[in-house]
Amino acid sequence: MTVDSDSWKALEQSAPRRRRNLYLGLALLVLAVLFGVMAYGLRPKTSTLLQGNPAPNFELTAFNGEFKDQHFALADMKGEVVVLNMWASWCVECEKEAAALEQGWRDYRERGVMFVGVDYLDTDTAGLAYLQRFGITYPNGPDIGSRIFQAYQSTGVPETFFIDRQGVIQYVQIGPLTQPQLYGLVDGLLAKGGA
Amino acid sequence: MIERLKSKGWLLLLGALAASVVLATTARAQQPTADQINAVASKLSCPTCTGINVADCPTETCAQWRDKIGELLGQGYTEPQILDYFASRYGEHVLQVPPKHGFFLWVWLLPALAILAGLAILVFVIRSWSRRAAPAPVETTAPVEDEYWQRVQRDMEQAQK
Repeated sequence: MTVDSDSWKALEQSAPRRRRNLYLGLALLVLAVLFGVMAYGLRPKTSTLLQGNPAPNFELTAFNGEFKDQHFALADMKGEVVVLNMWASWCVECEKEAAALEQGWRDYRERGVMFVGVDYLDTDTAGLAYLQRFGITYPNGPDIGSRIFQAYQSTGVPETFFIDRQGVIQYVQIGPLTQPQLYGLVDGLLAKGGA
Repeated sequence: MIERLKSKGWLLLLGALAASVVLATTARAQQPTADQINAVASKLSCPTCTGINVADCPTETCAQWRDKIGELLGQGYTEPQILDYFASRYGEHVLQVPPKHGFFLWVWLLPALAILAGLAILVFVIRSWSRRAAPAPVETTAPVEDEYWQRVQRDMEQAQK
């Protein structure tokens, strides 16, 4: 009888303690989730981490020249070398590579190389004026919702992605390209062959 | 006859003048002021810098965005419509006040959850401290030797007799 009453008392005492521990556990869990989310948000992100990985698909509607209103998607460019350039009209560094990119397009368009320009955080008026200023004729279009910029983990403009015929990002250039660099990279991807 | 033509000409001239005045006034009414543009621009974040709204930002991007806001206001867009335009065109991260839906809902919920969790832990810690600090009740079996108490008992026994 004495044993029974003792164990009952112990049970009565342990119930609120268990509830308290449950609440504490829940509170700690919430904090752990919060820190987890914060750590995820602060993880290092850079486009160069994508080198060697399949390129995220992108979709873009061109707003310039002969390609105006044409729809472009990476998924439709399999078998082609793709040079994906992110730029903006307000970006001074982008101006340094504009001529090289246009020359590259003219020299390689018949050799299975596709150049695509992504106009990041720009107004159409300013973007089109920039294209006209540099005589750019390859397809360019606005990055609606900054989706391409985010998918490619870009950190700024200009950035250029060299995607091989299998759809793998082989090289990421952060900052302006020079013409020899551009030609060297494109030639390298063309030499790799495959389709 | 000539007199009649002359008066008709004057009437036409007056009509044209009145029409141009009305058109100019309407055009001016549609032209948004800098204050109207800045009121909307202050609700957008500068996309290329940190912690500055588009109204206060000196960069070229923000100047272009202010022009675009002016253009949209001129076309009769309302403030929410303009904010929607910028959010869909450039992403919702350009809004100064994050929207209360989708992923951005967490921006509103997480601080409240963090405060609640912190309060719960604080309450738990304070309660456990106060419980530890309280002296354990001492059970005494020693007979009461209070003289006053004994006298009371004695008096009561006598009264019952």
